[in-house]
Parts: sequence; structure tokens; C-alpha cells
Amino acid sequence: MGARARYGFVVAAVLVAVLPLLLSNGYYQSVLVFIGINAIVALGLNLLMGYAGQISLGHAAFHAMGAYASGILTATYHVNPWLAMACSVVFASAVALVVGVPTLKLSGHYLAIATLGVGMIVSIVLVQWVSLTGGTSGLTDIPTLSVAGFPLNSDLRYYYLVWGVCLLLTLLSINLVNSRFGRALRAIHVSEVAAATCGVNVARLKLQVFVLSAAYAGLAGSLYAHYVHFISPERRFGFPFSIEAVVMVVLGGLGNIWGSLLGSGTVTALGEFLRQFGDYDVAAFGLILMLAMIFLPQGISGGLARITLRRRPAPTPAAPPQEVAHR
Amino acid sequence: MLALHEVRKVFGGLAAVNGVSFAVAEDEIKALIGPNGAGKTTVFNLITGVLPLTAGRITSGERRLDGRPPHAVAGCGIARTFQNLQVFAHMSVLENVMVGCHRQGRRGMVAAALRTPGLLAEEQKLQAAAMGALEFVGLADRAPEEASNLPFGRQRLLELARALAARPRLVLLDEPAAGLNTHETDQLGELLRKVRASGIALLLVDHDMELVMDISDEVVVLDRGEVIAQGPPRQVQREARVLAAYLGED
Repeated sequence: MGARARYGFVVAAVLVAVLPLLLSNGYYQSVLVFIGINAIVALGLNLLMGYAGQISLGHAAFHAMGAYASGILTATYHVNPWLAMACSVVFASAVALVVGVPTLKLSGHYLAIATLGVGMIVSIVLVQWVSLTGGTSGLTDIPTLSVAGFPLNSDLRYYYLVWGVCLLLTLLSINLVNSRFGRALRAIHVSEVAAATCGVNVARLKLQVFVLSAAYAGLAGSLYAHYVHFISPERRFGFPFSIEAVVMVVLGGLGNIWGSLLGSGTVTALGEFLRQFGDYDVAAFGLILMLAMIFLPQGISGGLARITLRRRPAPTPAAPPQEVAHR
Repeated sequence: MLALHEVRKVFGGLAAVNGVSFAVAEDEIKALIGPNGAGKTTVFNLITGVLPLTAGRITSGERRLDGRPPHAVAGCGIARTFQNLQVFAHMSVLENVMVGCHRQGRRGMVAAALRTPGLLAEEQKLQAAAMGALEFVGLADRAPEEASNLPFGRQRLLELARALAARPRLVLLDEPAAGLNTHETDQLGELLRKVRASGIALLLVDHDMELVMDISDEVVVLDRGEVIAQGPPRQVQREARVLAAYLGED
């Protein structure tokens, strides 16, 4: 990480530490927790979409796998919650591996279709496999996480857990894209043939990133389950959330790690705000997104970068989204 | 070094490459020439594993190259540049060349995320190797710039540096002089001789006959997917079939 990125990270960490103390209202604190959980999903999906150039339309399914694996293991089988969380990450990753091996050998957008299918299957399983998932009535009594006997049972405590994890994953993601691995990823996004003739195993790399992004979504699902203590086949575990996650990544800025956090913050907060408009919230959401895409085609992070670049002499026209994260 | 044996490639009933055989020796500069549509770029795509063969064999020493995926062919010491530039536009010049060094690194995803000491040492090694390749082609001073900011001729050199960074034994050059002015073409010729002097064989496709005749040890002439002549440049130039293919005589 360069000096500038390190500085940015410290600023973000301070902001994360102070923000909930300024917003002592429990509702706001819980919204911040959801922003953090969604940001973890968006971080993983951004590695896949913004760097490997592949789209997943079923990330809600991996999120659901994480949440339900944690929920079932702890509520039904009384497994230690941390162990259950680790299992849920492994489970989501393993399913991604099974889906990814045949589809990522092909170039093109086969992954998008395959993940769409996974999303549908998972939605149906959650409702129909009543003995395991609780069906439409869901799973209750998912226990609270605790650290060395100290329960994370308030919004504020859970906030620090979720955002600690989120910042850690942000750091790991930044490291990842600025390595040999990340350069190869960015290269296949531009030209798979050129990357392959440089010796990059394109199919394997895409598979690794896809599995990693599923692991992020699964971990976020587990964090969600232990926060709300009750999960059911809701919006969050179906197609709408898969799309929301894609929107977070695109709105935040494809190929910009910090953009995922901004995107999650914007989309999650906007969703909460628009709730008061009842059924019109979806329409309003769509309109805002359209405007954002017209005026901020490179996402929020790209827009911010353009403003800062404008102040410099000889700005590069139409700064591509990738360059921001690596400066 | 590299040998093609009766290589054939059929696209929907049409033989784009039809029974082509030739070999590239070590330290040799060989040119593949022919009119448009003769199958030159297809031959490159077959050698590098981008396209599968319909029939025939491609070997490098004892090793079979056909049937291997492109990254594995690269692993056998064969690098290439592209007719339509395939520079990684949003990455720096240095990073582009570091992708060329990909196979000299071993550390994977986990080490990269954790930035282990081993990974940092490896990154430095790759960076030094990439800088070496950039110095070789004369682009070291542009290392931190974004690749898409380089003028066209420099992007061709960047692709060459990226190919050389892989430490290949053979580089395939697909029209390296296309779009270059006379001065740049002369410089390229010098550079290619320097590459050969460092022990790397070259197989190039180009329409610039002056360059081809000047630097090649041997020329292979393709027409409609078949080899119609093969030999030293001056000799090939005089052959009637070659003149016919180029000028359309009977």
C-alpha cells in the first residue's frame, strides 16, 4: 500500500470508530451495521465484477448459504457460533467452487446465468425444505456472538465487530489487487487472450476470485444471522438482493475497493429512507439509480476522483474507474 | 526450437491453414509472409494455443505444444505480441510488463492478501525483472505512466517488453512494424537483432518487406493456407510462385 492509501485507511478507521458515537440513536446504529454487512458482500462482488470482469446475479444465494448454515448449526445443532461461522464460509465457498468449475472454463457471461439459476434453486430450497430451514416461518433463536465471555449483544458492540471485519477485508482486498494476483485479474478484464499468452491461467484465476467473492457473501450472511437472530426466506435471500449487491458495486465504482463501501452505504441508506414511500420506494430507487448512472457513469468513487482531478493541471479525460484504487 | 508438422485448421469447411510445416531454429529470425488472408495470424493462434488444431502437430523439442491451453504454451517458453495491440490499458507501463513476468512468481491469493514477507520479496524480484525488460526496449523512463497514454509506436514496444519479460526462448511478433514510421521501423529492426543476439528466436509476420528481407534468416511464404516457398529472403523473393501470389499473375 502506498502512503496515500495508508493515509486513506487511517482516516476511514477513525471515521468508523467515531461515527456510531455521534449517532447514539439505536436505529441509526443498526442501519450502520447493515451497511457494514452489505459492504462485505459488495467488496467480494467487486473483486469479481470490477477486476475479473465476471458478473454474478446470484450473490444473495451465497449470502443465504452463510446465514442459514450459521443459523442451522447454532440454533438446531448448538454448534459454537464462531465455528458455525467458519463452516458457513466454507460451505458457501464450496458451492461456488462446484458452480464455478464448469462455467468459468467458458469465456463469456455463462457465470451470470449459472448464478441466476443457483439463486432460484436456493430461494426454493429455503421455502420448501421445511425440516431444515423452517420454511416460510424461518429459523429463530440464532444465538448472539460473544468474544471471551463478552456478549456482542448491543447494536454498538455488533457495529464494531462488523466494521472491524469489513475494514480488515477492505485492507486484504486492496493488498490483493495490488499484487501479481491482482495484476493478472486486471489484465484478464482487458484481454483474456493477452493475459493467457503471458502465462496467466485465466480459468483458474476467475474461479479463485469467484470462490473468494462467495466466501465474502457467506461470511456477511453469517454476521447477519447472528445479528438479527431470526432469518426467513425474505427479500435479502432472493433475487432482489442479488441485484442490490450489483447496484452497490456499480454505483460505488467498478474496480474501486473503497467504492464498494460507498456503494453499500448509499444503497442501504437510500433503501431505509425510501421505505416511507411504501410501494413507491422501488420506483424512486430506480429513478435515483438512473440519474446516478447518467451523471456518475463511473460510480461515486469515479465521480469523486474526477472532481479532484479537475483541480489539477492537464486532467486525464474520462478517468477509467480502475486507476483510482491503485494510485 | 519450434516445429509445425502438417498443421491444418478448418473453419466451417474452409481450410484457413492447410498442411503447413516449417521449423524455427534456436537463435533464428524467421519471417512468415503472404498476402492478406493467407493464414498467418491463424498460424500464430494455433502455435500459442488460442485456437485448437484440426489436424497435425506442433512441437518444441520433445514436447507437444498442440492441445495445451495458452498459459501452458507460454510456460514452454513461447511469448507473443499482437497485431491489434492488446496492452492492458488501465495499468501502468511497469505493471503491464510485470504481467509478462507472471510465471516467475509463485505466491498465490492468500499471500497476496496478507502481504507476507515472501510476497514482498517476490514483488521486488518481478519489478526488477520488468524494469530490465523496459530498459531493453528503451521504455524505462515511462514505467509509471498509464499504458494507454503511450503513443502507438511505444505501445508496440511495450508489448515486446511484456513478451520478453516472460524470459521466452521464442517470441512470435504479429506485424510489429504496422503503423510505425520509417525511423521507428529501423529502430525496431535494430532491437529485434538485439533480441536475437540475447539468444531468443523470433518468428515474425509483417507486411514491411524491407524489414523482413533485412532482418530474417529465412522466410516462409504462405498463400491460401499453404506454404508456397521457404528459404533465405533473396532466394524466396525471386520465386515465380511468390511473385504470382503477391502480384496476382498466373
